[in-house]
Amino acid sequence: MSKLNFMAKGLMTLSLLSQHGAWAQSAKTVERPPQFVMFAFDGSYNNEIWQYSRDFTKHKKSQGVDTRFTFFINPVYLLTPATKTTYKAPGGNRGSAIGWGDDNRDVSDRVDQMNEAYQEGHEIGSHAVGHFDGSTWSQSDWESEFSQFDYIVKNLFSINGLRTTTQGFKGLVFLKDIVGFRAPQLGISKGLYPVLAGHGFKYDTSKVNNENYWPRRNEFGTWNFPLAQVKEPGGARKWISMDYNFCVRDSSRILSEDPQAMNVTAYDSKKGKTIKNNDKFCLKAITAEQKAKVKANMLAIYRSYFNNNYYGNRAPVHIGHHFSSWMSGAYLEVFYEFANEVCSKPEVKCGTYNELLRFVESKSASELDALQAGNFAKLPRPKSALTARPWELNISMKEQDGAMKFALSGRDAKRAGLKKFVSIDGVTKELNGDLTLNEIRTLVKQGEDALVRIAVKDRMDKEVATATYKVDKVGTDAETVHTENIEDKWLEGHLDGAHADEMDITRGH
Amino acid sequence: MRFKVLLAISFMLQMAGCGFEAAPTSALETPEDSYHVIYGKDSIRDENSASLNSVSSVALVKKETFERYQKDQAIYTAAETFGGEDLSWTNQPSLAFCSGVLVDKDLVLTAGHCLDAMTCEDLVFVFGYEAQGKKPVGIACKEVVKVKNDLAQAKLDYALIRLQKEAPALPVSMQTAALKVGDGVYSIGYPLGTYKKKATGRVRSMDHGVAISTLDVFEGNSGSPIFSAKTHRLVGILSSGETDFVETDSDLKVHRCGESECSGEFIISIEKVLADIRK
Repeated sequence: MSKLNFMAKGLMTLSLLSQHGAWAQSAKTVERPPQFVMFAFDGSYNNEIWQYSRDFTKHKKSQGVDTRFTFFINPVYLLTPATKTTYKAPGGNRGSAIGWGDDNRDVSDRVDQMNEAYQEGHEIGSHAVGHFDGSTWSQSDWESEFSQFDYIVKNLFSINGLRTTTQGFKGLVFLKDIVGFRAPQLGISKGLYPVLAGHGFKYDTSKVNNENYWPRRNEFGTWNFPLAQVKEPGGARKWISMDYNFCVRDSSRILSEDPQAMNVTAYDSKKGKTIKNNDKFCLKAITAEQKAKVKANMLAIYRSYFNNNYYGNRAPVHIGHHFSSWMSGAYLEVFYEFANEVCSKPEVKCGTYNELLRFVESKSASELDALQAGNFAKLPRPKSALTARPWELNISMKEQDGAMKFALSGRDAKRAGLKKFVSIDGVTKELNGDLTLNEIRTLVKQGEDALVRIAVKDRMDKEVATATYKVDKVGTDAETVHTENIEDKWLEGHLDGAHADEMDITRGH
Repeated sequence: MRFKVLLAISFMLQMAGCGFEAAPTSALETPEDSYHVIYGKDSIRDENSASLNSVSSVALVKKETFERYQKDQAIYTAAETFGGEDLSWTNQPSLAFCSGVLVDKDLVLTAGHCLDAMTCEDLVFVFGYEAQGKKPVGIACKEVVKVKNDLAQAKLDYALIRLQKEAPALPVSMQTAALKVGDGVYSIGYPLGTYKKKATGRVRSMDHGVAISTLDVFEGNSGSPIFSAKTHRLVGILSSGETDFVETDSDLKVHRCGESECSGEFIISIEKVLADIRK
């Protein structure tokens, strides 16, 4: 018996004695599974990031650490302005939501990157073709999108009139192994799933779920490998384990703290180009101080996610990023830093989704039940005090008597020293009492829509809870206050703008 | 290597100075067993003793947090950061994230995982962080001499760190005789980052040099020195264990277990650590 098994058995015996291990009496026990950590990119445009990712993996391999990635690709980057009409976007969309490859040289280099990445052990999946939000698409829209995906990846050499690439390729070498999908903007509809299965896809990464979710198949046999809604340590929110969603929330915080943040620039030394902010929902350039804050926040959330699972029920950890330098590159840096930190740990597998697929396919339904319940000898939890507990604090709003009335509820609502701040159109002030609609009317031009952001800060001035509400057509007869917190939408992952920066930081897309 | 020589010398000197039967210095009183939190009743109490074992216990603190503390700026309490409002001491400021022990004049032993998300430059080693102590003394980290963080397979979790200068305390004495089931032990560390505290328990099982105990320890106790209740020598350092709190929809309460319940608290024996350092 190996040392590991012996220890596992010992721990199991102890656990069985535990009255707190309620599972012990109820379900079967299984061997402790590896901790899968899935690092994936929705990206395929930027050839420098392809190269960097491959180099990172080679470097880790030289240190004896297996760290590989899954890349969900968009074939619009395998077309050029000369061949773009090959793709006819479904669902009433036109062109491409994210641009095209530059020219045949650029497409050829990308083919080399993709093929070599695959040959080096990375996995290539599908991010659909034109990066449109498919949440309203019919089954036939999806059928069209997937058929065009197949057509472009199979025929890109003849479509573009490409010759052999620099690395000697005459086509994509991984086509038989494209079995995974992530919907652009995580925009899914009912019509997607029958089509996905029909096109030979075995797993989908477009949904979101709890941190400790063990994958299951849907009625079409497709495995659900979702991103996580991670509870914020030391705060009350949940964050999706995807960079763009962080960017939207981080940007709203930064702009509420510093209205001049839009004017910050960054310099891309490789391209000799100044990067300017043009999207208040996802900043590209931020100050060094803000970048440190943004990185620390994301790392704390990812570490909490990893530790909860590694010492818990070992549900796979899913990290989904883009080939984009949002927040002066903060998220890209965290992606690699986090991989650096966790992939060398015992029992951790930073492989590709295909390997997770093989693992879950080898398990019976009852074994998956046991994994979900954590019915195995868990590793004892380290006794370091680095992760604050998540808060229970909810913000709600109702419109009454010409004002927006905010209320806090939950276990932590009674904490001493909590303060509320309201930000509207770049103006932030502490809120004592209600926010009258007249105040909003003085800050926003008549007829325009306003976003009202409420932030709750603790006694140390740390932002712990936020909510954002929309007011339509301020100061007109049609003025409407929406009671839904639009940040709830951010938790579904369904956001415009992903890949926007990917185009902007590269040759003028 | 210098640290090996120092460790060996320090170990031999201490062994020569006083036998296994004698308490090393100003003897600690036998810990009271009338209270335990996690395992049985609450054994935790503030530790202000001037005993060698107590003064050799050191708090690992993030540099920025220590700077705030020195400037008398606000620090979160343990209850604010982690919970545990039902404990009497969680209104204390939560300064430390791990604990450690002085094993030579400029060498600290702690748990390996304490360096998981931390570099030498981020760290200050704080001596004398006590409820009624004098002003604590912080010493910066010079280098990480050796680190092992693999409880799952190698069953090791320790780090040996050299300080920028000698500590204002004497190193502890060690006991390399193996721990046995039933042995009484106590920890001196910084549960939930609060002031130095002592907790007592016993070894309830052994697994490949890892002693599984009933010590009432919390997050922040990682790297705490564990002493024999009989000889008062260092027998191990604390690594891991049960989750500290149990969360329900409406509440967050301290995890209370019977003496034989839950996973137990894992101690890496000093014997195993020394054997690995000497490799």
